[in-house]
Amino acid sequence: MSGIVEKLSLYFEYPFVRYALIVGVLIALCSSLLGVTLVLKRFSFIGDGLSHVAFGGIAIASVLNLTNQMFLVLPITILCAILLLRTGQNTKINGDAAVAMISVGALAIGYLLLNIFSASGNLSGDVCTTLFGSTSILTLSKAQVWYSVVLSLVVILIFVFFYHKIFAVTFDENFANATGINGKAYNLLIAIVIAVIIVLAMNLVGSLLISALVIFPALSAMRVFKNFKAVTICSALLSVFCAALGIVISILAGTPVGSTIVAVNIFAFGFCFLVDKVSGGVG
Amino acid sequence: MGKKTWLIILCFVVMIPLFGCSKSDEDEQSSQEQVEELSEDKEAPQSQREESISNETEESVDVDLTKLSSTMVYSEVYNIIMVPDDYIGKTIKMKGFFRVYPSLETDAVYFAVVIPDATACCEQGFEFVLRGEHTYPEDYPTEDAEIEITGVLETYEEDGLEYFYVVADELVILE
Repeated sequence: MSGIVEKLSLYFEYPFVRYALIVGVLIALCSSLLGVTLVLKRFSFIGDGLSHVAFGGIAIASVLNLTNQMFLVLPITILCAILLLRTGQNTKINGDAAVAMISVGALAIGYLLLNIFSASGNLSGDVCTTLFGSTSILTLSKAQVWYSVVLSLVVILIFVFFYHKIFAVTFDENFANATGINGKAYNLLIAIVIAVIIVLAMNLVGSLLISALVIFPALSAMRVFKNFKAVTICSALLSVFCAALGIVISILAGTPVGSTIVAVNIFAFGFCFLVDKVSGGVG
Repeated sequence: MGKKTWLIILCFVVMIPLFGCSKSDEDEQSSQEQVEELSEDKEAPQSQREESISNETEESVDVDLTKLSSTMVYSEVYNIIMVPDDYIGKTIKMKGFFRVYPSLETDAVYFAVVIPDATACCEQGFEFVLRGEHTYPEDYPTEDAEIEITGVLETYEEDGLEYFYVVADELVILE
């Protein structure tokens, strides 16, 4: 135990480890807050779909040799989030089909563009890192850290200030509209915030694993609590704990950061499932 | 019992082994320490000299990548490549795989030690040269051999571009 503590003390001397923990914890917190809303609105796979769109955006930005890819990736992801989340019931393509279509389309087109036009010396390595986030969170520059911190704080403030409106729109949009809340506007706000979180979370767990960061904390919390506020707080605490623990385990054991965080989230879900079963089942 | 109570109890149950390990290790160590105390006293001068030599060697290494996990090594090497000015002139010790890169335009041969990341889909590393006169392949290991080098990070210019490499004082072939 003391050996592990000594090793951790050594690792914490490296600035990139401190940056990874700060940004990782903030991203996990933001993901979990909106994750509860997404799970309740049955849009759990929106994270996966949008992350693939973001991958496509990164591919286009790489081909265009943009210095800062976020200037292209963020607007594209926000646009697709708005299109997907504002898809109404009268559309010819249902919500889940639209997510699947955009998701696989963006992934395929992105990979195709990278193969045809990329000048990178290690294409498969770049793609692998973007998809699985093996060490992305540990290779952030100071500017990227500040960028992530500011965006995360904006997301958290939006959630805190608009908590009641988000709650109303999540559970009963028609009732929210009837009581004077502009449901469409808040859906648009949720879509934009989700897109921002997805783009940030790609640095932590990669494109393919983002859904885990959004879904698992919410589902784990719902096993234990039934009240929206309690679920949200529990989800946030679980997500932050799992992200921090996942990062620490991965740097100690030499495992990929993204997969380790998801594995810890899975254990946390199992733990909460056990608590639910032991205490008498769902209800 | 409510769900919250069970959750709290289970949290404590999970945390107990984390505190249990260090206490039992200390108990086991105390009796062994008493037996070894006398023999340690006799060997103290020799071990102190060896310790001071190894401390001096460790202290002369500014960046010891051999003590880090593979995830940390990859990240630190990336860091060095992205911000090399912070590391120029520093002594680096690193372990990785030996690679040979013959030039397509000249007769020059470049040597590097590369470190893969945890998923083994990406590699980072440094070019290195051995201090003194050496010829390839006689004085170098076989390609892909695992090696450990200790040297100073320096720069050189070629064709108008600046490159970074490690001037290695020591190369050890690991089994």
